Order: sequence, then C-alpha cells, then structure tokens
Amino acid sequence: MAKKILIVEKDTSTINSLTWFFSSLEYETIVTHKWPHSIAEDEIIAVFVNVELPGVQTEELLKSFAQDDHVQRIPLFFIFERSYAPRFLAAQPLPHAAQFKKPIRLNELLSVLKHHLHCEINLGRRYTDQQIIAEFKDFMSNFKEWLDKLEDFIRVNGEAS
Amino acid sequence: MKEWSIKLKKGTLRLTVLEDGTLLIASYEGQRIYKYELLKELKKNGIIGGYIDPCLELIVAGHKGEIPIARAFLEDEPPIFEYHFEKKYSRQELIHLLTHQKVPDVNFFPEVEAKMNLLSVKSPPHLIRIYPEGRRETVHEIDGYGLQYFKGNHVACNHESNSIYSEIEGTAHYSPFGRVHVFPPEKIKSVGKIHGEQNFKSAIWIEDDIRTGSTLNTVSNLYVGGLIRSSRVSAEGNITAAFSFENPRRNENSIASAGNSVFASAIRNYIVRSYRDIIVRNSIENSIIRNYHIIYAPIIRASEVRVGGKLFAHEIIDGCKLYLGLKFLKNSLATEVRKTHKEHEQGLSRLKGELIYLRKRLITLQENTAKHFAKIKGSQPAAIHGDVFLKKYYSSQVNGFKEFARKLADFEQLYKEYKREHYTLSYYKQQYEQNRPTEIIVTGKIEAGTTLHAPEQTIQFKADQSHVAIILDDITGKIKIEPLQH
Repeated sequence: MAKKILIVEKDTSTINSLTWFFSSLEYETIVTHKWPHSIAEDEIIAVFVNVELPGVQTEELLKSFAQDDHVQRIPLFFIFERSYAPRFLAAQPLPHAAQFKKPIRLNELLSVLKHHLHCEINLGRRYTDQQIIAEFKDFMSNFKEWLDKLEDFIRVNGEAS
Repeated sequence: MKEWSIKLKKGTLRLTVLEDGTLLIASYEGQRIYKYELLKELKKNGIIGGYIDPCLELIVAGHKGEIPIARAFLEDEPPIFEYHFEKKYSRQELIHLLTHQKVPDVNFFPEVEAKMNLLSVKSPPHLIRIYPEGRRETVHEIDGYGLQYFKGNHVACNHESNSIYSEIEGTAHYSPFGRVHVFPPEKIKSVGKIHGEQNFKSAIWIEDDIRTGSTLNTVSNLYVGGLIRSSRVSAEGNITAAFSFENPRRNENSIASAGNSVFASAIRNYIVRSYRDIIVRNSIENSIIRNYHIIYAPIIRASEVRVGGKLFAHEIIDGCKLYLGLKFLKNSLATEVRKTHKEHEQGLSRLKGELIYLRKRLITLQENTAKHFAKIKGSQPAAIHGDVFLKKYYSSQVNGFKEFARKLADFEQLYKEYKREHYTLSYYKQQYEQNRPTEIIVTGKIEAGTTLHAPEQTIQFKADQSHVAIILDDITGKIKIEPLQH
C-alpha cells in the first residue's frame, strides 16, 4: 500500500502541484478543504495544511494532535499565502515541522521532505502485482487454518452433544 | 539542482532538474501554449522522455506555479539474441554490396535439422533506469524473463536456458515479437484461384507460380520457385519469390505481407509489407512498400516507400514518394497486443479491487465470529452445535473463501498473460521502435521530383542528388541530408 499524505487546501494550483509532486515520489494524497476531525487512515505520514483556510480551526487541529498518539508522530506542515494574515499569525506559535509560502517551490519542499520523512525519489515499485499475489496467498493460508479450526470446533461440539 | 529558463515566443518556461536528473520541475508564465509546442521546446532542450502527461496538460490548461513534468522511469530491457539461421549484414556491408552491384546472400527459407541450435542469448535481460534526458543506467539483471517467452512451435530450451533448439527437421523463422518457430515444409506444384483460399499450418515450397487471383496464408515461410502474380499472400515468417511479384493489371488485392522478411528479383505494381527485411535483386516499380527494418533495392521507380528503418538503394527515380519514420507505418500487430495489454491491466486492477473487498469482508466475518464465540462461551455443546448464527457465520466464510480462491486464481492467470504481453512488447519496442536512426542511403542518384516526407517536414527535390544519406532526426522530426561516407 502506498503511503499517504493529507493535504488540507482549497486552491487548485497548489493541490495540483502537491499531488503530482507527491505522486512522482510514489506517495498517495488525500485532499480535503477542512480539517478532518478524525484521521482514519493509518498510512498517513504527513499533513500539509493551509492555515489561512476558514474551515481550519488551528486550536482544534492542535487538540487532534494532542489527543491521538498516532497523529502526534505525523509531521505537520503549514501552507500560507500572506505572512501578515491573522490566521497564519495565530497559527505561527503552534508546533509544526515547517512552513511553505505559496507558490510552493518544489525543490525546497523536496529537501524538507527528505529531512522529515527520509524519502527519496522512488521510481515506482515494480511487479507489485506479484507481491500482491503473495500477500493474498498468505491471507488464504491463514484463513484456511482458521476455517479448519472453526469446522473442528463445530464438529467436536456436535459429537459431544 | 540545475535551473534554467527558456524564452519562448509566447512566454517563459522555467525548468529545474532535481536529484541528478531524476525529476524535472517546470513552471510556465505567458500566453496559452499548446502541448505540441511545449513538447517541441522540451525536446529541443534535451528532455526527450519520461513525460508526466497529465502535468503537461495542466500547463497547457494554464496551471500557475511549479509542477513535475518528467521523471526517470524503469524499463525492462529484453535479452539480445543471436539467431543462427539468418545472416546479418552491417550498414557498411550493404553499402559495399550496393556499390558493387551485388545482392546480399540471404536465405529466407532456412532449413534446420532436429536438435540444431537456433538462437543463443548474447546479453541477458536487464532492468534499466531511463532519465528524461535519455541517459540509461543498468539497475540489475532480470530473473524470470526467460526464453519461455520466445519459444514457438516445435522448439525447446536447453537446460541452461540460454539457447533454443529445434525439435524437428523443417524451416525456421521468428515472429515480430521474437518467437522462434520451426515447421515442416510442404511441397506444392503451383497454386491458383481454383484452389480457393488456402491456409497452411506448415511451411510452403511452391515449385512454379502462384497464379492470378490466389489467396494463400501460412504460419511459417513461403518459397515460390516462379512468379507471384496478382495474388494475396501472407506468411508469418518469410516470403521468397525466386522470380518476382507481378501485377500487370494492377489488381488492388495484390498484397504480400510477411511477419519477417521478403526476397524477390523484382516487385512490380504490388503492395508489400514486411517487419524485417525486403531484399530485391533488381527493382521495385510502381509499388507500395511498408517496412520496419531494412529495404535493399538497387532501383526504386515510381513507388511509395514507407521506411521505418533503413532503405538502401542505388537509384531512386520517376517521382517516388518516400516516408521516413514510424509515424507513417500503421502497425496492427503491436496495436492489437497493446490494446489487449491495456484491457488486461484494467482487468487486473478490477480483480485486485474485488479481492481487497472480499478479504475485508472475510476479516469482518472472522471478527464477528470471534465476538459471537465470546457470547456463547460456556454454553452446552448441543447449544453450540445447534447455534444458528455460528453455522451462518461458518457457511458465509466458506462461501466467501471459495469466491476469494476463485478470483485469486483468475488474477494469477491474467497476471501471467499480462507479463507475457509485457515481455513480448518490450522485445518489439527494442527491435522496431528504439535506437534506430531512420535513413535512406543512395549510392547512385535520387532524382529531382522525389518527395520526402518526415514527421515535421516535407521536401521535394528540385535537382538530382547523388551519393547521399538522408537521415531522420527523431527529436526534431526533420530531415538531414549528408554526403554518403564510404
């Protein structure tokens, strides 16, 4: 499964730049325009959030971080357009890994990502279907074992009765 | 990191190369640019591949800011083979033969004995990394890309899996996808319209002529001791016409197509298509020729020739039309395989989705069963045995499991086919589409009035030219004409 990056942004150009950039690094992206109350996806490895968006309550966002162990480990990156915007200024003191002014320079983004995610440009995992077949076969043999046990259990109880 | 800007007529394109050329970032500012203009500029600046197409479309649609437009990618480099039943000539050798009015000594009906070594691996397959600027790096040798993909009828691989030998006595050929076959020959006196459409599952040796109006297809090689007259003939291997292809009444159905090569003394008023070589002893006249590899003909007169590889001629006269480049060759064989390959890719993705869904459902059922266990824990064996929910959970899981196993078997089968297509297509690409400068070599004269068509240029010669090499520049799609170096 590809690792996922959550992008909380509304501006199409920034979304396109980021999604295609991450996709060329073999990451998947989830895009939303407001801060999601719970992050269900276990594979999320980083969050990019436009702190100027009205839908993003920075305080709530921080609470989510504090409440969830999993989310605490995820680096949070701020995106902003105007350095004097009140929402950005309010978010500034809050803990975050780095901040990017729009339009985002992708070479700067890459060096920051390398630092925080230790990523490198992955040229595509090859023959993943072969790996998936192996993964499915593993699942099948484990499930078969479970089914056999279940069958035995029903049979033993039937005999005892 | 390398950064540079390109001033265009309509704006400025800024390029940034990251990670030693692995990723190319671009931003464009200016008036609307078309995709072909963007690609042309990129090619002119040495970015010749690995394009991320949707991003190019975004720039065309007016995207503001940086976006990745090309990146390095991995590709399978197929094995390089040596076929022991064919003779190869270098460019220099062919020029030498043409200058000395000789014909290459080819045999397109090669007889092979049982156990004869037909093919050896000269270089094993490799995984290579190709950078947007064209640089190629070997990553590692590929396991499992074996000779089984190149094994056709009546042949077998040796124990070391580095050569293919014949299982029977017969005549050998290989297909455009590199599959080697041997078929026994069948001898026939002659063929005519009276015989109807003939489809042979063997190689055919015809002593005399193929007479007007015949239709003949073979899965192997075809040898005709006399003439091929106004007929439709096709061979998955080679076609040899010891005399010539003749079509005096210009019958539209006079078409010859070969999966491999063609040899004739002359070709007149015929349509001839071949993937490999077309070797003509005397001349091609008033004909239409389509070829991907080598055409060798001392004289070409009043013909249309579509050249995917190299054309060697001594004289090109009487208003010939010459088309250079693969763009002018429609390829139904590879197109079909590519279409099926795409469909199989979609099929794999659909099955993968279904398997993931089924797995999720089975896991949920398993969890629910575990929860139910907790509820009935400590009950009497009879109660457990008679528990309706437990039985329902069990049967749902058995059915789900069977469905999962069936879909996984389908997935595996489809994946095998997908892989086979992938390998045959990579061989095809290597042989017919990559690293092959298209050129026309003329050792005598190319007459005024000859028209040359390239993807981005059309030229009509106003004066005779002699001793020239006409080369297609793959990047610009234009023609370069140089004096022929002997």
